[in-house]
Amino acid sequence: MTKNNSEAIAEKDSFSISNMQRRQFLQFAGASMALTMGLISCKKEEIPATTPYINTDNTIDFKDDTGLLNYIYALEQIEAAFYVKATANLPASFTPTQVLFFNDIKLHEIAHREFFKRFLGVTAIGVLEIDFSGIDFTDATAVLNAARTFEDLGVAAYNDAIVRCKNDYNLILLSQVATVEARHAAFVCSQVSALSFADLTELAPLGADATNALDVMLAPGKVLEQASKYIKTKLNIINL
Amino acid sequence: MNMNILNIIEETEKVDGAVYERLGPRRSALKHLLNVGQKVSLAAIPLSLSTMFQKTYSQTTPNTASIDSLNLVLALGYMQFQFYNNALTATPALIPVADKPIITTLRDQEQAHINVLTKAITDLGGTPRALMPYANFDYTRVNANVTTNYGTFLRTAVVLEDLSERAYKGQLITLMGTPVLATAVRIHTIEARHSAQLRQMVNKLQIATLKYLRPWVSIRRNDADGSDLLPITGNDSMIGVLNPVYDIDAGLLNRETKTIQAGIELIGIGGNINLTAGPAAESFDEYLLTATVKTAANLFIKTGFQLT
Repeated sequence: MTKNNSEAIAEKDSFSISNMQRRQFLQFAGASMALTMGLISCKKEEIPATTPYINTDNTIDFKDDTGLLNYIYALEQIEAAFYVKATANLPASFTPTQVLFFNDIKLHEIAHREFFKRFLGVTAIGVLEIDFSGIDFTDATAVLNAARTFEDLGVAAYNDAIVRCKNDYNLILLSQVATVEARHAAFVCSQVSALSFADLTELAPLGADATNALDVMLAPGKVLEQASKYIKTKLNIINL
Repeated sequence: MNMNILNIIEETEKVDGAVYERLGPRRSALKHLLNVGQKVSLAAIPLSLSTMFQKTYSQTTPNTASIDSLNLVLALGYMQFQFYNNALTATPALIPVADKPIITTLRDQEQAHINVLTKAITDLGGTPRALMPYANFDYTRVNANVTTNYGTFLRTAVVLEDLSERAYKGQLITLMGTPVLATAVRIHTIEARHSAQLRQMVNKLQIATLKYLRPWVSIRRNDADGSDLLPITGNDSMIGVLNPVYDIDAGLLNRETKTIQAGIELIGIGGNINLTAGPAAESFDEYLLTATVKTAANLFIKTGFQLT
């Protein structure tokens, strides 16, 4: 999934070469384990050449980073759709600053959605049909609580995806968005209650660890359990 | 099967010339494996081999790179903890009563990170850096009135949190494949939450040049109407000397005002004309690598205690 452009290459080169080699090796050693399951052969002549893959049936295959990034792309589609709908007619009680920042967040989520769409290219899932029928967009508390849910769930999804990433460049890209989602989460949470910007006790169900001040982190299966009710399009989720 | 194993070793040698030395005592195990191949289940061999390699590379090599990474961010943990702790204990009148619980949470979470990092370094067989006391630091870069002016205090805190978040991001690849990666990732989104909270508090004070400061790292804005200040220069702290915190690593493009990610321009992407330079830059945070992190951190560390 790494882009063949000079910027990507320059950035990749900036990270430690020796670490990169160690990781390449670990991936290679890991591949030998796959042989026991009859997936691939470790004879180097038989390592399959990369054949172009085109995603035609909204497949999210968690076997590799493409699936992981498609999963993130699906979540970004939900988030962007939420803020597009919410900001079209924000509750009257929203302050000018809240309106400004909600519009910012909408634009960030659109940027994320469009970025992943472009980054994944033909391997991307399609444009999903999203359903927010359970959310009352005229009610300020309902809008803030929904935003809060999406942002905290987003951070939890990103943090877990970063750790699952096989490619280091993808890892960095996901981490670049994860902290922006965390900034959103802190802002939205603090609109509900001043101390909620990092209330890790409250966030324990999403995997937060208050004792060690570690943020939320949730496996894709758990995230999708909560997110799938917003997605009407049928997704083909495999190797989860 | 023996042929295949040799292929693996051969491939390994291409990326790690020292593979045979690294295997160390396992070389005899490898020979044994090659010799007894016919006697054990063929299917079991690749698994054993894989386990052996995982052990060789994941556990038996001293993980000095990870230890160095964690010790770097540990210094930033002390930098932040001492800053909040001093305000809460030495100059408590600085902080409005209503904000005390917020600053206390920030202080306590930084202490928790110090504890987690210290334990992680010890678990890796490393030596955690010695405690850095308040006296090691110089927090006057935003303004010398940092202990008497709450706005200066908050602005300084924002910079420390933003620096820390970028610093963690710059260490993630080094930590890839280790259990500490998840810890670092989960700390770095906490630092982002801290920054967002503090940036809102600065915004509320409506300080000149910062009237449109965002919870997210952004470009400079006009105080009059909040429009993007173009051309894009500097950083949204509006303090030039703090540029290393928000700027590039030498030779790279990772300035916080960057709008092109992985070669994809975010300004106007997908026909969204409202996605101007400001929101495009805000939508991605940027990593910062070790050398620049040290340069930026040393802005806040006194001579004699600086990171080298």
